[in-house]
Amino acid sequence: MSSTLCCSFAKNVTLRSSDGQTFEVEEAAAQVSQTIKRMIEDGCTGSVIPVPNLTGPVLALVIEYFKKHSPPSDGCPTALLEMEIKDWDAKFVAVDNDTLLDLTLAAHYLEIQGLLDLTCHRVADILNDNSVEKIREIFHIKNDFTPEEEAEERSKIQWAFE
Amino acid sequence: MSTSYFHEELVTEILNRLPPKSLFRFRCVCKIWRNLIGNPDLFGPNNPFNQIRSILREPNSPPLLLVKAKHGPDDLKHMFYFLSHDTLKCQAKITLEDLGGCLQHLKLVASCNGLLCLRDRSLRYIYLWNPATSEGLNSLPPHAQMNFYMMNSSSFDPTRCPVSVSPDAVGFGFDRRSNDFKVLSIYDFVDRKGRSKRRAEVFRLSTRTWRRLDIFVPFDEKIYYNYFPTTASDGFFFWWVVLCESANKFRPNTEYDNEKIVAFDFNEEVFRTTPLPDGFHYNDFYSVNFTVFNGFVAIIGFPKERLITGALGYRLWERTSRSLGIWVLFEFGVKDSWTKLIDIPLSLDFPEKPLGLWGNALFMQNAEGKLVLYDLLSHSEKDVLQFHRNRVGGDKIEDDDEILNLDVDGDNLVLQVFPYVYSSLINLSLELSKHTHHLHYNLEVHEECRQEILLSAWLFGHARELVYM
Repeated sequence: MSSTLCCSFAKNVTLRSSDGQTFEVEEAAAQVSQTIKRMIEDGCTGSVIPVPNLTGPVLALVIEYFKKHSPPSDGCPTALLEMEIKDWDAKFVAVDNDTLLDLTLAAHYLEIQGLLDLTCHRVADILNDNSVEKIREIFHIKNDFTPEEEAEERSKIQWAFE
Repeated sequence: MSTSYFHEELVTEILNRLPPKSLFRFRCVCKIWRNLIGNPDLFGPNNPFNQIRSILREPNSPPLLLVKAKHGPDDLKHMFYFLSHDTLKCQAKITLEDLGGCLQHLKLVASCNGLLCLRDRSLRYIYLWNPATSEGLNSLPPHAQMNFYMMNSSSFDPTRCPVSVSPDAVGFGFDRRSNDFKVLSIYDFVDRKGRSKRRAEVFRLSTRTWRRLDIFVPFDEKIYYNYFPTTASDGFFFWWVVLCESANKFRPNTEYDNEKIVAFDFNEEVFRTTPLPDGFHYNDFYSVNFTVFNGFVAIIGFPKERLITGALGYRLWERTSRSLGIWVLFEFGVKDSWTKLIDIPLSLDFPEKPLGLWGNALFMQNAEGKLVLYDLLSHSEKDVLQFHRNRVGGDKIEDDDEILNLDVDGDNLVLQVFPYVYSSLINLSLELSKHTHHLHYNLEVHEECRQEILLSAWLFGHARELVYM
């Protein structure tokens, strides 16, 4: 009896971003992240959980994801709900490139497998449609080939550029 | 500038989701990416290529192994045994009764997304079958080639009759865009002036109708051979098209010019062709298998032995090459994207016949008829599958008695074994698991198959739910 009562009150945890913003979220929802789950299991609840790798706006997005993906209280998700979540996911990652990469890093750091799959797929789709130059720009990568080296690389796999 | 934190593990995670063409291109992004992507030698260390797609395409439900056995010619019953993928125990047995004698010489065209396309020897009938339902074979409505056979003598007009090109002139695939299964049939049509025209028509399962395609069929007129028609994911069906010998007599200088891979794209409903790699001819190989590797067209070639005259006048068999090669076509239509994946050095007791690729493993059959699995990553081999076949009286089976074929439907192994033997007993023992490569199973087909035995084994995923079948 008492345990039923206990479950009906959602337990909250507080997450703090690198820039000091705090967010309150249901403990069950936050446990979508394996990293946070471990922290809670190690007894970090009650106090504030620091998430130093994420800025406030990114953490806010991640918490939105938590809420959508927290296990439903009444057992199995229905097929309809799954489809709805899929649609929601697609919209969730339809963001600008920098935000998308921030979300990818967040998913990796917080060990959120679903979000990592989602963002990596989206990033791969974007990469697939773009030139080498554009990819350097998106990822802020410095081209460390000399022009001769790059020309040689390209000549080896000319067909891939056609 | 958060992206400076992207470390190699995360970049690999993303690169793993890219098709080879993009991967090759992105070698030029920077040196770290080049090293991550590795060399076009796909089986080098630290190379994400070998994980491509195989990770991403885990089947939703465990596949079943289907073993098909056929009664003798007088008793036309086809028995299908469904075995659990994990335990290899028989889950169900379905018998197809051949009421009109139509199922004689039933052959598999292809399996795709769990649905099988079968045909009879003359291509008079084409069937679709979803083994997950109990509906049995679904005969397609009459197609042009079939109409030819249906004409009675009084109305027979030779100038109006479609002529069957080849029993292999049929393809099967899945169109992802319209979520529809399609069957392709190629035939010749003689017009009133006596000119022969090659045509193609497509059957759509959703509408259950054939429709003629107004497209060019890139199979040379009456001079092609099909070797190993095969199906792949992403709605393609492939043929290896080779000039036949009689054509060579008339066109001696074009001996291999038309050797090519032809694909039918079920999404766009067009044919596409790709030449073979330079200097690559069917006749140069002792045995060749045309197959699909993680969704790409692949060729496994085992070098030919040739008779040479030794120093003292002895005649010796010599292999033209000392290794078995696997070539993969990464971009259909682009000859330069043929990439030699691997060379497997030969040893003396090396298996004699390549059969197909499954995951990162190569199946081969050795001289004793034993199936061997060669792991392309670890370069180690294992015996996985053994066929013990006995004739009545225990005679040994001749090499010519069997046709072994292997195909892949998605992640799943499709193994067809057609030992055309007269036998009272077939023992099939297999040891097969995609992940561990360890599983034991013994199948004994006996009594029910008294005379001619046709045994096929397919391992494939559950069929999609087909509401319109």
